[in-house]
Amino acid sequence: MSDAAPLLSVRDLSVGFEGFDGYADVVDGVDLTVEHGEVVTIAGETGCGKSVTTKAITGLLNEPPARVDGTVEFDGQDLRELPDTERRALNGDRISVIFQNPLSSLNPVFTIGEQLTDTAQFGGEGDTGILGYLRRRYSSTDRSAARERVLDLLEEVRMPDPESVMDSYPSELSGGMRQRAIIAQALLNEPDLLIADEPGSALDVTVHDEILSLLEDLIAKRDMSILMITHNLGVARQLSDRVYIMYGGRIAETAPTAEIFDTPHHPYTQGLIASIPRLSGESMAGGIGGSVPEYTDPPMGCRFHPRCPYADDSCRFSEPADVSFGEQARSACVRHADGDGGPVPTLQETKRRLSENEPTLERAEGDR
Amino acid sequence: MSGPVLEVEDLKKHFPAEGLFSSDPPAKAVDGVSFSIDEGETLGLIGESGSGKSTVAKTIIDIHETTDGLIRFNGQDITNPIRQQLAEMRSEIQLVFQDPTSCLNPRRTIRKSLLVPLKATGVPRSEREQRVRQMLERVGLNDEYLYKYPHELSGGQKQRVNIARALAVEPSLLLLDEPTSALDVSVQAKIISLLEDIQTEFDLTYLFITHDLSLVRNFADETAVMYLGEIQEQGPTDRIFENPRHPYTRSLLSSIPVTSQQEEAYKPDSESLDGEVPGARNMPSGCRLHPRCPHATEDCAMRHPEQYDVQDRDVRCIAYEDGAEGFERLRGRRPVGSESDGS
Repeated sequence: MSDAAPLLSVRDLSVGFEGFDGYADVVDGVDLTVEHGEVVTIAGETGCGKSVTTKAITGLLNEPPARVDGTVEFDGQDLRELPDTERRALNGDRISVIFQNPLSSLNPVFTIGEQLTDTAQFGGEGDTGILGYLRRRYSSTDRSAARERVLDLLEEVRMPDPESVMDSYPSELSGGMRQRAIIAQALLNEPDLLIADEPGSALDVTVHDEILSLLEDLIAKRDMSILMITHNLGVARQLSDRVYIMYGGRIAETAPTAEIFDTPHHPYTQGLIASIPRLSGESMAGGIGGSVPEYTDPPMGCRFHPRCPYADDSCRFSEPADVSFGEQARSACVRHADGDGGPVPTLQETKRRLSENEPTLERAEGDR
Repeated sequence: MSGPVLEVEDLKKHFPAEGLFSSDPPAKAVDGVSFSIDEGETLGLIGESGSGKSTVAKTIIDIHETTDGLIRFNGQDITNPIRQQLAEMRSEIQLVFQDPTSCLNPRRTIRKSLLVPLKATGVPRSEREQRVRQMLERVGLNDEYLYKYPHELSGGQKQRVNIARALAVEPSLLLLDEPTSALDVSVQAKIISLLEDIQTEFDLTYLFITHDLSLVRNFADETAVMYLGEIQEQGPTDRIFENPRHPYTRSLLSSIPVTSQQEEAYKPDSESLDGEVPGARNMPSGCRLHPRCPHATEDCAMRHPEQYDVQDRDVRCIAYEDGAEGFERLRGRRPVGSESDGS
């Protein structure tokens, strides 16, 4: 797996936005890779920059107001160097995206059948021109072949009663069915890379679970790489091979899934994992004080330091470098250098510090 | 602990169909819910969207008029209260909503928002400023926040303000309607520990409404699981999580993505439900879960199950009609009695 070049390789990606409050430095030097056939998750809390990262990867950010820097290499070609038309031809064909809200990714005035068949017929062709579109749209052989493919795929995503769903409008479907339609649409052109932004998280737990197990089956059946975005660490654990934890526009830590949950290295990952309520009733740590940084004026040094239970002056002034833990794991924290032998800090210690942390008064400045 | 603070008996809230000539049946959002909460205890009310869990809270505090049933607060009947009673009741019972932003007036400073309940309950003017500062400090916000506007605060901070505002009138019962579901986990843990602290400090009783089972596991003494307007299973939290009985509870538990191997043991073998929650206007016949239930029999479609008293809790499933063995038979297993088969 690691011999060949990775399918997706993002290097030193930075995204900023020019706003009324000044320049917001939202993604800062993100490096990430997705190997062939690998399921990778970017996990993080609201405002950590995880969605913006994927939008930069898919080229969905308008520049300006966005300012994007760095390289996004997909299967050997730098997407940021490609002309617009070629790049657009990749989206929907070799790269597909599932967005979080299924209702807003479906056009309300067309039936599911119309929309999906269009994708099957024209996905990955870039701009066909209106005449080209009309000619093929009304060529019955072309159209009905595409329609067959859509039906097969709806079957595959376990859509109840696919025939009648084809003639339904999005508003007539339930949330779970819409999500299935979106997944089918994304898979129509057998993408090499599927980017899934919080798939199904707007749904109820029981339906969400079905969508996740559907994704699990699809991953097993198809040879495709997935880059998933989620705030739910449970979802990350269930589906992915490797996890990136993002905080404040930077990658705090990455490791294979089992490793990151058993032995998290970064204090933020540790705090996050300790804050999750457990089914076993194991007590939660007291949570992490403060909130995500203001991107127009991010904290100096380590962006997590205002909330970190280990922070001292060295965190304030120096940006932490990545420290490797084995082949695939790395974590960015200056404290790692302190340990002779075992990794520092430890999950237990972080938990203790977070729990002991008396409900101190939140400072008005710098903690938002 | 002394007697129940809140008693709800056979509570019903039906919303009539809209339109003058509409022949649609009423939406039975809450249909025969009973529970009681003892002083200082927390009852966790779990349900998916559309289960009627929020309607229960809103009916208790008379945002919705009660269709039928009885609500007693400290022994006193507060069902559909008259004006005088309402004012009294609302200084004793407070509600904290899910969305911290829409609960705060964007044009009022935090101080002004916090002064409103004090004025309404007739706290003398001289004491008000002092009280506002105290409450704010109690929820972990300092004086600098007094003159800030809601948009200057993060979600967690806004929810702290909402909690402070609820506490300002010195209530004895808090209805918490998904107070942390709009927040991130690291912030959620902070708010939960704040809620735990003030519960002991002010001797508060909580009705905690949520869709998050793991949260209830950590926070509630008793748990009630709602589906389509009815409580399906109710009992001590530990017992329900160690040995869930109702098929709905079991599938809810089995569908949570967890973060450790240890927790996997608490998930029953996959018993996923078919389809999605039907609307409250086209309620299935018989057992409300039967079209989705993996164990449903013909009987389930015909008969509406009662709440059966199974050892340590109430379960609304006909498989438990004659005790705990029934369900195991249904699943084609040997009865294991009260032993936990999930762990």
